[in-house]
Amino acid sequence: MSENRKKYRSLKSMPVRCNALYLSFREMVIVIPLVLAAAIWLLPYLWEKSEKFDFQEPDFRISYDLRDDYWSYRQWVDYAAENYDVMFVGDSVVWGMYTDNAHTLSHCYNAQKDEAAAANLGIDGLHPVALEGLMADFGRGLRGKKIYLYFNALWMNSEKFDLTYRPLVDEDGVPEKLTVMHPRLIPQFDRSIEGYGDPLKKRMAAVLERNLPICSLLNHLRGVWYDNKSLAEWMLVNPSSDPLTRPGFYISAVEREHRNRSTPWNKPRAFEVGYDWVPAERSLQLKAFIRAAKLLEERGNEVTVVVGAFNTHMLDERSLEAYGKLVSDAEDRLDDAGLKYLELETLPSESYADASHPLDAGYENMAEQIIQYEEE
Amino acid sequence: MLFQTWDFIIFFSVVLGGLALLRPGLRAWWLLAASWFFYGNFNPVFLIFLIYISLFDYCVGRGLAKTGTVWVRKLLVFFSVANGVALLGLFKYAGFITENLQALCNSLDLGYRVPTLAESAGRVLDALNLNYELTAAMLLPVGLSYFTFKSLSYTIDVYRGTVRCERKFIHYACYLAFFPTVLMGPIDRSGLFLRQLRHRIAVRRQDIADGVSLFISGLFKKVVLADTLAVFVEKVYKSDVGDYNALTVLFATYAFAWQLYGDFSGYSEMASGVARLMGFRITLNFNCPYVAVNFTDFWRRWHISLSTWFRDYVYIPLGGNRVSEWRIWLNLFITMVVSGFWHGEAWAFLIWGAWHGVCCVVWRFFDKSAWYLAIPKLVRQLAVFNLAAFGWIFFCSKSLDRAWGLVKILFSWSGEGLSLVPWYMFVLVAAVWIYQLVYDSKLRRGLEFAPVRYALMALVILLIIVVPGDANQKFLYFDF
Repeated sequence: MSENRKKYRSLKSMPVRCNALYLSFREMVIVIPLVLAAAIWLLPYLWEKSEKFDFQEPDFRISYDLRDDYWSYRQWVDYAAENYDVMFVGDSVVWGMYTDNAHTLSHCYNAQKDEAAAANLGIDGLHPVALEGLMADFGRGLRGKKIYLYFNALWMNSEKFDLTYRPLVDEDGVPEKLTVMHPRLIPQFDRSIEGYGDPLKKRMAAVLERNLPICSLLNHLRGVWYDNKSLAEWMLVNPSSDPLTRPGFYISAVEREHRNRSTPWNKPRAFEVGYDWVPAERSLQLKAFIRAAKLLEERGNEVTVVVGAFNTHMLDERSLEAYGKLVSDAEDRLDDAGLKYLELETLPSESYADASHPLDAGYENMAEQIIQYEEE
Repeated sequence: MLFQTWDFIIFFSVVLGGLALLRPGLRAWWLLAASWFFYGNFNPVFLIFLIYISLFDYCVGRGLAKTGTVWVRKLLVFFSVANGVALLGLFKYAGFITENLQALCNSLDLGYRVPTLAESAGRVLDALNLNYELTAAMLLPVGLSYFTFKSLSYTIDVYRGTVRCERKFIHYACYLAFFPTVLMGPIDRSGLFLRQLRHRIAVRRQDIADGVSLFISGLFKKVVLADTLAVFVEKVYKSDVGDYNALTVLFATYAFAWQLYGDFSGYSEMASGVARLMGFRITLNFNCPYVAVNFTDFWRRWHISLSTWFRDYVYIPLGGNRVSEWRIWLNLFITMVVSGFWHGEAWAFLIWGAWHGVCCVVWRFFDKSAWYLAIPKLVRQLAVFNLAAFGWIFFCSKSLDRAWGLVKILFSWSGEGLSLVPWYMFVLVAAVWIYQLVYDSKLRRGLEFAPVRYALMALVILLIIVVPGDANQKFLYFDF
């Protein structure tokens, strides 16, 4: 002990710093947690209170460009939860990939019911594994609502889509990297998604974004105001602009592009495709979908799974048979989980834009089927 | 595994956990295992060099302790120096030597092709029937210049009798491989480190507070200051000469000066913070170099552990200040040129060293002139900064042609080419500079006033959270 004292005495005179940026231990345990708390929670809270979106626009759906801005999505969820009773949640089929705001599923539903009851909470590319993450961390505002959760079997049409794919390894031992949509929403350290090859830095950034509001806010600000660039990179592109005056408190988040497509999938000619459907018992996407639905139910929502009106007209015989089995097995699993579901009837062939996306008429048809189900 | 990455945070948590749980006698073993793992993580082959030099100089040290015969002692220290210089020469300067030999052969029309180190090593492997493909990058172990210099300082100090010979190999190997400093210094002297290691490794509350403060300060310098400026510097300095006008080149040069400072000083502070969290104090490596009033002062503040190394093992053995005035100039010049060559195997680094040598000599005159000392301090500081920044052009360009092209543009004051001055980056630089000027003045007490420290700490933490981009910038001094 005395030797230690001697050591400390002799080292005490040694300069260790070149600035006054230091804290004593006592100061540190007070100042640093306070600063971190202010940065992580208070700043985002104040920003959230000051920021205004155009959610009141009729038939609002979040714009395609903001599809991975989960901060904006959370604000939309919170607004929708306050102003609507019915929520349509799902991927680009719900969002309306080949249609404009005035022909989406939620719009057709509202129009047929003659009231603004439903909100469109769809996002392009939202596969069930990402849906689970989105609902867990950014959909907390959904409580006590009627939710139509759209199940699109397209996400199980191959091992790659289903994320059960085992990547090939090249000569140098580097595994093939799987393209995953909404990578920030999937479980970052789940070994079952073998093809997900993002580096640790990106995975940790995703974990932080989902848990710390400041990280979500920073991604939002970068996406909306700084062209998805860091401040330094943005300043290089805009050397004379003032980055501090750039962010504003009004965000136009509504989709403005007219995506209406009048050409159905079978024009000029119909064709057949064969999918290697992943069986229900092996499917990661199906398991994640059921967990997402259960999570929403646990939050007091009345969840109805809408088993999608997949375009079976384009499937070859083998695929069609396998698809039928897959849907039947999936429904069995929904039953086992105690989830209500509605299996939509296949739409007329000319109502599809591709394998899963309906055209305007298709949405009318789907809304009719849903309302009929409600009435029954 | 850089300090600002998650990999390091995980690694360091495990190391800290081990240090806390293991009994004191095992802590040095644990630290060595962690340090070797950290170093081997870059390339396990590099560990061979680190272990080799640890063993070699440990044995030399033991030999020096056991013998009193003068010629044997001289021979031993000669072996140690020759071994260190040979390692550096072979791995760091082989490319430079072969390149210049080839140029000489070409100019003499000898028609001889000088093989590169990778080619020679490849032939040896082929002769041994080892199927292993070598590249130039694989033949430059990271941190070689740093741990070689550390090891040399040890054997020379043992020879001189200024430090005690280390009995335990574990301790000596730990000194060389100590993971916070193995890659980029500071080039700590053995006396300081081994003295701490011989005592029980203990962490006090103040160590934690200082360690965290140092780490935050270093992180700010790296991810906010250096990485922000790096985007601008890379854009200008990696473009073709002539793409940008003189004003942009001038600002890019200033930006590089601060980027390099932020990068290296940030690393040193983070290293110091990490070491402190384990209960070790390491040398202060940077002390506001851009507020220096002359070039001797600059080198007392910039890469302090390296400049004191050159002072003790090159400048003083050459005669230091105890010789005639012209020999002092020569000694200063030689020391700075050697220092330039240590930084990199290119003529541009030699020119950079020579530039500093000339500036040091000129400032010896200036500092003795009443007219110079009458100039306001701030003006002298600005003059030193500008001349140091000019030197960085050679440092950053790494090739003489390119550096010369940039110097020509700068002095032509040409308006041709693109203009790009992201002014916000310079607000950041100005803020840091003003802070350092105040810290270096009689107003320092104001900065040490508790509420000011709290406010600055809050601002720095906020900037660390808000500013960094996705770019994972490696450290510039990594290459040396």
